[in-house]
Amino acid sequence: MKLNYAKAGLILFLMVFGFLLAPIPSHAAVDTSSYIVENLKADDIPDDDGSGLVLSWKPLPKEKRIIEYRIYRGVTSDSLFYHGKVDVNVKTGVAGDVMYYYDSGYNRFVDLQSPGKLKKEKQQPDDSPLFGRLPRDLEVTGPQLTNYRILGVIPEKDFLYKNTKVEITEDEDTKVYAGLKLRHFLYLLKKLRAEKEYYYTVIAVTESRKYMPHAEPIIGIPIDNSPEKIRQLFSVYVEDKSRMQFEWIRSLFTADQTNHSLYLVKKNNLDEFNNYVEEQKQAEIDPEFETSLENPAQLIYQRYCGYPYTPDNTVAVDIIDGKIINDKRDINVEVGNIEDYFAVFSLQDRAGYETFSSLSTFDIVNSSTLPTISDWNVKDRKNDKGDYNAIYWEKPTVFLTNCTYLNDDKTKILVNYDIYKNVKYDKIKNVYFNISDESGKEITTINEFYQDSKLKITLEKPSNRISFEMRVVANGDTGEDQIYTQDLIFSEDVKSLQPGILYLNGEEVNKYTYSIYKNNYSNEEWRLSKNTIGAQRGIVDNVSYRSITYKGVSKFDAEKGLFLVTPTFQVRMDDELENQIMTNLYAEEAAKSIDTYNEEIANYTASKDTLETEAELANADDAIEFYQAQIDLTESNPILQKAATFKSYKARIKFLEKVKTIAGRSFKYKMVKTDGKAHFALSEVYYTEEVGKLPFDESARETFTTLGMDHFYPLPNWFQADKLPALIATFIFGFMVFFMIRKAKSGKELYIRPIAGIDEIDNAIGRATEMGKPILFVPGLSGISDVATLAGLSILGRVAKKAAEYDTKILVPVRDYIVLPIAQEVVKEAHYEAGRPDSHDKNSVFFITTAQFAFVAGVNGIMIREKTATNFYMGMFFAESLIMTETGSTTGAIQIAGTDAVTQIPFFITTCDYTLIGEELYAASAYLAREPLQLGTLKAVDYTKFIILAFVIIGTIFSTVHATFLINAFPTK
Amino acid sequence: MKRQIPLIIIITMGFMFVAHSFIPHKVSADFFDWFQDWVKAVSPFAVSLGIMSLFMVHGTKIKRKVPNWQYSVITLSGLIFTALAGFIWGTHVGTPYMWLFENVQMPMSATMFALLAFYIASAAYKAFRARSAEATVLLIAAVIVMLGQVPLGAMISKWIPEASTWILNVPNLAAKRAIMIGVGLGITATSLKILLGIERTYLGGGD
Amino acid sequence: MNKNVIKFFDKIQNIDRRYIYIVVAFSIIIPLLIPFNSPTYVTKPTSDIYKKIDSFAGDKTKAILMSFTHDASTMPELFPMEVSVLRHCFERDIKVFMICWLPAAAPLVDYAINTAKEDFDVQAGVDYCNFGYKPWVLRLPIMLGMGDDVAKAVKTDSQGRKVENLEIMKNIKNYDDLNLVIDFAASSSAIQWITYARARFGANIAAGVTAVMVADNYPYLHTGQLMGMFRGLKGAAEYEKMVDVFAAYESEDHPNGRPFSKEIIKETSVPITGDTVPYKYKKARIGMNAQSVAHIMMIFFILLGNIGYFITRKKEL
Repeated sequence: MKLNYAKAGLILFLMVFGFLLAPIPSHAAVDTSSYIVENLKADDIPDDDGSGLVLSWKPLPKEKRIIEYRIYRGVTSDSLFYHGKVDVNVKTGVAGDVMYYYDSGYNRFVDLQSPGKLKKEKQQPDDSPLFGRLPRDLEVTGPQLTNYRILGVIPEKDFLYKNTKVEITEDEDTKVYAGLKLRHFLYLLKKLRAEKEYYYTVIAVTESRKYMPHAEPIIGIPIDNSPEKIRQLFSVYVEDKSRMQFEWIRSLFTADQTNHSLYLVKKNNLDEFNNYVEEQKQAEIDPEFETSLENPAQLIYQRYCGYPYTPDNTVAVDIIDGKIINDKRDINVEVGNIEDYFAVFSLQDRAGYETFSSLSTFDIVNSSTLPTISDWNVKDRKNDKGDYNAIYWEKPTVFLTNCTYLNDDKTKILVNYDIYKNVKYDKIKNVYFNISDESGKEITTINEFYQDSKLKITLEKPSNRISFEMRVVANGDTGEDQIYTQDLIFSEDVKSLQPGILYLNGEEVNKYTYSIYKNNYSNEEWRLSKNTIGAQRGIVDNVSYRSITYKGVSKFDAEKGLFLVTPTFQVRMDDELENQIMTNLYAEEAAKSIDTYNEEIANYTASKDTLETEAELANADDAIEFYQAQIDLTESNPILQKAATFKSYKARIKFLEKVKTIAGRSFKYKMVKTDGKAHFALSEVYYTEEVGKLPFDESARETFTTLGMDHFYPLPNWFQADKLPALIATFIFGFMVFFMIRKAKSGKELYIRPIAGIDEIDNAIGRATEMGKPILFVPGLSGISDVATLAGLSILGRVAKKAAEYDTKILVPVRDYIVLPIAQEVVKEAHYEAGRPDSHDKNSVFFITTAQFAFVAGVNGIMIREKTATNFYMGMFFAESLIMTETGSTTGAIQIAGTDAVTQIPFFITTCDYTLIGEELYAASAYLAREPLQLGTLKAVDYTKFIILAFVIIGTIFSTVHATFLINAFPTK
Repeated sequence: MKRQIPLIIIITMGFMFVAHSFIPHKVSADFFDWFQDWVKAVSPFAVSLGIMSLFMVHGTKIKRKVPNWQYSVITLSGLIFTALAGFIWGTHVGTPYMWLFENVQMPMSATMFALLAFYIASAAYKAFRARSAEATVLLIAAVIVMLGQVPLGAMISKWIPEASTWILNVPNLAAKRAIMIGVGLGITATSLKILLGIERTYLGGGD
Repeated sequence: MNKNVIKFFDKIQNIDRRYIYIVVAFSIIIPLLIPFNSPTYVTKPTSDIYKKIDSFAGDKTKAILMSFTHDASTMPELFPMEVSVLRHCFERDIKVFMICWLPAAAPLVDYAINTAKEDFDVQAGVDYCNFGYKPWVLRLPIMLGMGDDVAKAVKTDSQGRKVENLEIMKNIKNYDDLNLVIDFAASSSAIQWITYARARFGANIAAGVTAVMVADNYPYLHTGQLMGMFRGLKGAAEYEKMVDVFAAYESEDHPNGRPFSKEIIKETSVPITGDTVPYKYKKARIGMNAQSVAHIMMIFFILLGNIGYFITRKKEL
């Protein structure tokens, strides 16, 4: 047999290595030129901000076994850097005739994972223009900064505290920058610049990872286009309130918008307006084109929309005394008969392009046909780390979700229902169902005191329509005034009853949807928090702690290894959300800013003499006004004034950071209930008299007077109240342990149920000693964080000690390498304790592999070769358990297993001589130790189990008699 | 001292984690994140322990030419070659490393796993004997559940699949939950013993 | 009793387990090699999924999402489910999306699509869309994000195309449209969908799980949180049959398949011998044959063992 092993081993060895040679690609010459991609093109992406190109090429045929296409980009044709790749499934290839790659928006520029030095691309000829990814090396990467629009994404703390002040003198003008190392950026992202030429090429990589030659580089020029047209505009005129309401379906691409505008176009001006729009389009295509027409439409509303979030898509404009007036936007329009007008919406982008929507006629309605918003609230959500506000409204909704027949006669049905709760009505006590058939005859009434989301109903005869009348009783509400009705209607298609439309007091619930918008002190725009369906009764709004600063990067300092960004930052906006309160990282620069503003004002005033057109003059006036406002703010703003009093950099920045955080995390909310077609109700901004607490000193309130009344700042909580039962149980258990240990220490005999498997451990070790064969101990397959492994290890300690006393060899194969040193230490210590350090073999505890089934193969091999007399399996096991124990049973070993893996217990029971089931595994160590401390704990477990059992029985009895308070006392998780 | 310091670390960290599960505050959440980062950073170092153990065990076997030492050569060369293949050619699809994974590791694991079907059959044959009243119940339940899984069951009677579902859902689930409660308490007790320093075997022996 | 019989049972009692192995091997291999017709009884959890998917037929404003959370090791059980769901969708002109959470699942998604699409005129990005591999750690933002806007939560598909630009995304915004999520897994990962997609956004969730995981998912099926479930290979075989009986059914009255009906499925049996159904669409049913035979063999062995046990015990007495 032994010779055979050796031979078999050798053959296996040769086989493995033989196979290894096979996959190495053969170096037979291939015609690489046929691997060059064809039809490579780079086209502008329409409707964008001039940052997008789409590459397309013809994919190589499936037979070429291509695994990926790599894309390279540069601003000159002689150096192209790796940009990205498209993976391909080798077996199936690419189905279509064309492959696309979108180079648009912000994507990766350089970060910590970039290579240190610039490398030529692999397997390319010496004169190849292809390089690897742009490296961290600033000498190479720095000059590339100006070829793209670079956005630095910086964790706020790094921007505020880790910067280095750098002064750069250009044209006698010294400018101050904040320098940051690459590691301080979360990412540096790049975007293509409009109207700039970029070179692209693509290479194919084969399955054996051979990089093929590149295609001839092509040029792509991204072009700034006018914004994408919105999909549809809806307009409504509410006659009795003389209010215009607008709602539109947003366009998909929103990155480059600055203004939402609404216009009225007189119906008899339509041709003129169309001509104007046409002319604008011409001007976009042909920059030489001179426009001559004026927009005949009247601007009635305009707002800023440059925020990188989803903007509000509803607007209400009031007509007062036949006029629309808005001083801020210089609007003063007289409105005649509303039927004479079309409404039109426009989006403007940074480049000044304007895209008009299709025209929309007003739907004239009365306010009584519009939805109403009632009873809505905002509050800080409880039991969290302070990152959620809860917005909730009205009372819980109940609705049917599904229905199925339970028998062939179709007289027994199972109906599923669901409930939407909110933070105010969070405990549902009862749900009443009145169920009647087509003729209105009552079938049954059901009181769901415990909501398991299902009803079983027996019908007299099969029915095609069953009506439900539903009412929810929640904490603090009887639901008397809220009757929900919904029918189950037989559907031909599914041959079953299906839930129909849900009505609340006769009104269709899901006709309207809710949109919740929020706004804080950092921007004037309202952004979407969430949309919900009409049946929903609340949302939670995430207010993240993560604060990030976004900065454009165009300069660098190669010597110090720094990327340079402007040191100015916005603290917040003023209370009217009109002006930004800006300051500088460096106090001395902030102090200088007023001088700069004055200089600018002087410059503009001087330039006014030479300006000619009215537009230019107006522009200059605007600039002067802006700088004057900045001066006023800087001189009078309490935040900036207080910031100026700090001497140290750190103290000043800390103060500003605090103000910034409160401003950024305090939100006010408003709600829109709409049918999606401008028939909406717009809530006021939520306001409460109750003043919210602050986690900081109350002095912050001087500048945040509305905080906690309309601006909500979510607070972190120190205790999770819904875990109270768990805490109480922990204390009871802890107390039990102490009590029982004391009892055990006092010498009182504690009865412990005998466990056969544990009693047999000694005999099993004795058997191995008699036979002169080793013991095998597998401490489970999971890691150290699994408590079962710890229990297994403590049993190992006892077993190893006994084995050492009997001088029997113990083998411990280990799957987890963190368990390995611990198991080694346990066995070593056991030998020392038994007074047999000499018999300890440090290689008796060894690592096999982390692969599950390979480990089993290893263990089985040991059983068969070493003929182990006794096998222990103690810990966590998975699907491999039976494979091990069945092998053990064929070798005739005595086997004792212990696990808490419920699905594996049956396998152990059938194949092992003794099995410790579940908790017995945990008891074993105490059982073997027989120390008062251990026994006391064991006894405490028993009594706690008794308490749990008592709760289970009492709970069952109570819920059977409709008393659900005990169930509700426990959290649902 | 050798034992005291680890014990102090265990007890303090243990109580901090107990506190963490009751405290949702940002301070507590940040502590947990910080800890997670450390775990991620530390655990890869333990890999080297495993590899060292493997080399020591099999190195000794080869050196002493103990019976079956040839297997140890295969084990070590397999380890070295796979690692080298990964380092030299990378781990992308199409490299020798991936080839080894797909054509050696996966089928061998699948083979071991497939053995389960045979072992279950033989284990079932041995286990299901009507030796006693309890064993008879087990036997009948097993036959019903097995029949419920195949068309033959439904052909015999339409109640067999229903009975099979009932057995799985009621008695089986009840027993499963009872064991789970016991296990839960056992875990809590063991954790508490570790926290209080009653259980120290895992630190290596008694005190 | 005959001495020989007693001797035979005596032997059977201590039969070498290798004989059992060989019988099991044959009882699995033979049915796999030689398919035969056996009845497939359709159970409710499977037919519920079928009905739900079928209710989207031809509806361009609804879609289903298939989530792959398993690797190749559990393919024999889960792959036939995936293929037959895809076949159903392609037959009945239903928009279908796929996403997978394990790197090892990505090739399986491709494999499933390619297996099913050969017989249909369907196009990626128009009739179906594969979002590709998304790391499991990102499940929360993606599952929650899809409740708001799918195109925002999953930015690119497996070919790197912007999801928002794809034609299939027309009328598909969030779980209101992506109304059914089927999670195929060898674990209880469907719970994640229940917690994030169902509890918050009311999406319908179904699960396709291996037979050993069925018990773990039962509680959710009971409460209706899972609207349906494929239970191992059996579930796959049931679905295969339903697609054959309804979706792939062609007649003058129903050129695009016929609607689901319990009565029809009870009466109809689809032969899997012969070439009427391609092999790839009857894999699960053939597998079920093997499973049935193996089960029956085991029951036979157990009964044999017990008879032997009683006979030998009598002799001892």
